[in-house]
Amino acid sequence: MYKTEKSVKRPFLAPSRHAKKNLQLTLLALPAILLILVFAYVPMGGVFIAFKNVNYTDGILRSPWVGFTNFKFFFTSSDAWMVIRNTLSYNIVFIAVGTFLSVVFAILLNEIVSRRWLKTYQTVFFFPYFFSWIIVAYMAYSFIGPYGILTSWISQLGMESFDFYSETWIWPIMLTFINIWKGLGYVSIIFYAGIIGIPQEYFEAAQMDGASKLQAIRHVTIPLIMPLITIMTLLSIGKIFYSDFGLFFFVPREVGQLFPVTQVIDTYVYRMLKVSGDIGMSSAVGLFQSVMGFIVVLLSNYVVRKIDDDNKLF
Amino acid sequence: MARTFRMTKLGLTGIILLLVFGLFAAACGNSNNNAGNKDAADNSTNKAADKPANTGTNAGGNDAAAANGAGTNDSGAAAGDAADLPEVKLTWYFPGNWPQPDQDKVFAEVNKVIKEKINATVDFKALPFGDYDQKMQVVIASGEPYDLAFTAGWINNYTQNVAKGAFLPLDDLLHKYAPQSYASMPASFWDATRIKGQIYGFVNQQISARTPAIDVTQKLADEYKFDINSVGGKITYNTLNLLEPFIQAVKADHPERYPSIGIDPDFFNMEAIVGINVPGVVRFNDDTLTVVNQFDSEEFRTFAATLRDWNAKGYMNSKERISKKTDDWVDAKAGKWVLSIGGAFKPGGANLAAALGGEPYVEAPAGTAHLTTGGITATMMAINRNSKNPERAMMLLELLNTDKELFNLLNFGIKDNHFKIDADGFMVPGDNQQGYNPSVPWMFASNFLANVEKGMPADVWEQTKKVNEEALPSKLLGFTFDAEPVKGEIAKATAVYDEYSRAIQLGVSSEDKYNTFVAKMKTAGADKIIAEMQKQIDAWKASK
Amino acid sequence: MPLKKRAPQLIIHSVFILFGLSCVIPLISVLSISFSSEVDIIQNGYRLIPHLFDFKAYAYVLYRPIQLLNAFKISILVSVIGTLLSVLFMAGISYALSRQDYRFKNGLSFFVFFTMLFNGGLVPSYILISNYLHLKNTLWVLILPYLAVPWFILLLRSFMQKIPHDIIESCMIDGANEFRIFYQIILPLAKPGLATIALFTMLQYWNDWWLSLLYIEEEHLVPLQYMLYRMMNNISFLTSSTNMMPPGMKNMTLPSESARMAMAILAAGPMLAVFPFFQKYFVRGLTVGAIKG
Repeated sequence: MYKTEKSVKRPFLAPSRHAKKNLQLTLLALPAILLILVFAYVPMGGVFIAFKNVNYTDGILRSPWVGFTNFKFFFTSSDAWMVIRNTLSYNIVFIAVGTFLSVVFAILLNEIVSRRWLKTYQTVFFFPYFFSWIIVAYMAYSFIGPYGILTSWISQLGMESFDFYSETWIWPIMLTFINIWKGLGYVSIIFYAGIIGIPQEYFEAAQMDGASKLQAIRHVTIPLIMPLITIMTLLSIGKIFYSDFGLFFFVPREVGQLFPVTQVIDTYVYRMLKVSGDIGMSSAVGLFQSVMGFIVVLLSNYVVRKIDDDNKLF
Repeated sequence: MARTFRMTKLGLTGIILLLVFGLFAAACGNSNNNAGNKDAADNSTNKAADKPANTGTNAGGNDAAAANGAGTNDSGAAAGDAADLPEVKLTWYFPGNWPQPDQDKVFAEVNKVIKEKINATVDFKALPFGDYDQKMQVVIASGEPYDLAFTAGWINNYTQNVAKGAFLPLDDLLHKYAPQSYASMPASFWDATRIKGQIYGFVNQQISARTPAIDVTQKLADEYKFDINSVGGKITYNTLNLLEPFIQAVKADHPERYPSIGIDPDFFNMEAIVGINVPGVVRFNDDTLTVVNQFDSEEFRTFAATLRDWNAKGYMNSKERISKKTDDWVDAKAGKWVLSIGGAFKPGGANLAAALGGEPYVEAPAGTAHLTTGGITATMMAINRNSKNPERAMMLLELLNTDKELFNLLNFGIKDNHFKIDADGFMVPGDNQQGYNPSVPWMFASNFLANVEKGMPADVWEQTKKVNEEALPSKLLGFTFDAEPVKGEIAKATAVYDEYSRAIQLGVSSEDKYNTFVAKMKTAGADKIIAEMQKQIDAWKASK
Repeated sequence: MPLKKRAPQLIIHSVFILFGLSCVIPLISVLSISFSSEVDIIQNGYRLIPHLFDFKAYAYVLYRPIQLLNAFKISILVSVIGTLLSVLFMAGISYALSRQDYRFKNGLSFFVFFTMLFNGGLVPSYILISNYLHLKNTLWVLILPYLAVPWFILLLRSFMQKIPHDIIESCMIDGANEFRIFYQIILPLAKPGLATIALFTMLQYWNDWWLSLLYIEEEHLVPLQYMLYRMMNNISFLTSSTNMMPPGMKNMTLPSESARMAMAILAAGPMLAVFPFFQKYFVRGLTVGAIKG
């Protein structure tokens, strides 16, 4: 993503004007730089809390250091494996299925002839992206809740009545569906924007060579949007130890029975902080997430660089 | 390499810029928030002076203020005091059925009185019950200089907070600034709040002898000729079937209704050491004070089996309820309850149920009331370790505990507007009751100061006191558990409880599942928690 | 170069129509429930089209709507101010990052990107915001933390990179300084990108409940989503406002299911109405990274 274009212009300005230009550009960027510094970097200073047994008599700064005890707490609990597994497997499925479907949708969108239909689809597909998770949770409830539309259809079909909020097996499917449903419109339009950026000559050349439509997609479209797919995937991989709090917190309505399949690291930390109030322990888990995410990105970027240097993130 | 180098240079510039911006932002924030401004200023200038008060001995910090207030305070904050005291602003966090439409108006009135009597104004941070725990965790963790907060075993956990040093020991403050409140309660009540010998919670007196209440709407009771007193006092974990005929009859006509049954330690004749959600209870009748795992007990299993049976019979509407965290009065109002067992029975309690449920209720005690540490400490106020004005906070509590009018103003709103007093001296709803009716009379100070509502016996508070006095005191009274050594295990056990409790409560957990639950509790460290509890109880017993 | 044949077009359309329906139906179902009566719900369950239209839920929610109106006001204020400032600030940094000849380009990119992966956690942020910046219980606390979102900055940067460098160069040769170039050349040219980012930022502000959960304790600053969150999680909102049952409804049961759905509709509606204004720029504005070619 940060690759510099091969054809950087030779400097055409005098050195003094260069300095002035850099200064002016920096000034333009300054408000955002400051905001990021204050709201993202300054709190990072607080990671040391993860290594403390915080008590308020001494205050956070003077509380005793306890090394990795807070981490030990998390990793020795039987839930640790469960929430890490849930977080990772949901994210892997979301990335794989989500990216695949988005690319397919983007390619199909590009095949739509009618402008009016195209516009309608784009608008409608975007609807789910507009709803907050709280609203999505209400929507889901209206389908699969005890009075839900889907619930009553199932019982009308003569099947034994099905109780969505107490069946664990259905939730991985539900959550995957809802997550992809919500993001598909958005991500597919990003890919679509990439596809329409491909110069027409490529397709014309392919056609001249006698390539079929599918062949053109395979040999022109996909290779050309590959950098985009890689970027998007790398970015998602960076967040693989995080999850969308709203999805996992609101949609399953905090039903305890479903925790084995709906509890992810973020919700676990939130709930733990709520019951135990121990900020050391919850900070430890947060730090673990950040560090793991960082390592995963560096690793996958390294792998991408090995395979295809052009697609690397940085 | 080159990039790293650039980063550090950039980082340096960044830090300098940050400092500049930090100042700017702080100034900005202050001008936006006058209250914050004042606090911030106080904070920085008074820091040095406050240190002694914050270290825990608290004697030093109080001396100056003591000179101001001690002499006059015996009379319970007479109007003349105010002039001698410097003006302060107190911040008070508490949960309840907030927001109320007219709360700002009422709080302003309350502040007028407080200002006059103790020259303080209170910033009332009235939070909804559901937000309170989460909010207090961050408020306490961040070291925010609030002054007062509601604490108990069931919300904003008292022992955990004390273990972390969040609250100020109150012994000296109580003697100096709240002598009347201190004298109004038996010493055993104060002892119940002691942790490692010190008092950290100011008890809001109310019903302390606990047994759950059974609530049924008047309408259903009449319609199905259900005499609640015929079962009152007889319902425990293994006699729930006494209620079955009534439930069955109601269900036949109203399939949408269900019995809402809470899981409460008193229901099992057990005293929970930390809470019902953490393994470790002592049976009321156990002289040896042996700590057992309630989830593995015969009592709990019987209870779970009954609910399982009820669910199989279709009483529980479990499908509808599983997707809700708890049963609540919204459902009652929506006409979904057959009956409810939960909360705490108290004389005149039917009135509160009526206020919450929106129609007349009849109420009876489920079992025999016991006086336990948990019951006494169910409603308390604590003073923040970082409070800048702990003595004034204590004076405020004393004021609320002695000034009946002020207390009722805060509780029920403005007289002749939100409530009225009828010819017989009972309180009746005012024309504008909907504007302010938080229904938490045990929140702000002793419940015994509250106006007697119409429908309550005139001597309701005398009766309540009598119930408290006559109740069987738990043999553990005065013991408080120091949770610090097993805090990790407790957090894990609570997580397990959260996963399974609703299913047990609704009778949808099969016996197999129940066994898994017990096994998971064990892996979470139930045995370690229980051993620690036993150790502390034995030590306490030996020291007596 | 689209397909011209009918059959594949039909297949594509049917796939899209199916998915499109799945996007619209949930909205209809929530709308329908909000217009159903409580009794009807209990007897017949939820339906896509109400048995009988019933306006009680809205009568209930909109009776004495002071709280609700206030929540709307806060949400609108936060969304509008937040979006304007955010787009301006992010455009500034994105422009600098989009310039190949900007000296700190790489360092600054990393500076922005790093925050996407690493964060300090809840408690340190809380301490900073409440104890040092003193932003608690102000409107600003709902705005400032989201003003510079790394992902949006990267999106906008990609968009600006597509603006031909020659234009900028010729302006520079004419002696224009960077500020003038930014305001007079870049901002107008980047309109699709800015509009897209504006929409996302607005959405983010409108849908946020987290900041208000943490930092708002005063009723007059409660935004819409936080109100919804409370209704889902707390008994208190619905019960305490049952005191406010409209006079004609005094003896009726509380429309708890439909009232919640009515609130959801009221909260979701405005954003759907806003979308068409941005749509024109939408696809063009969403380019991430440069496509080779």
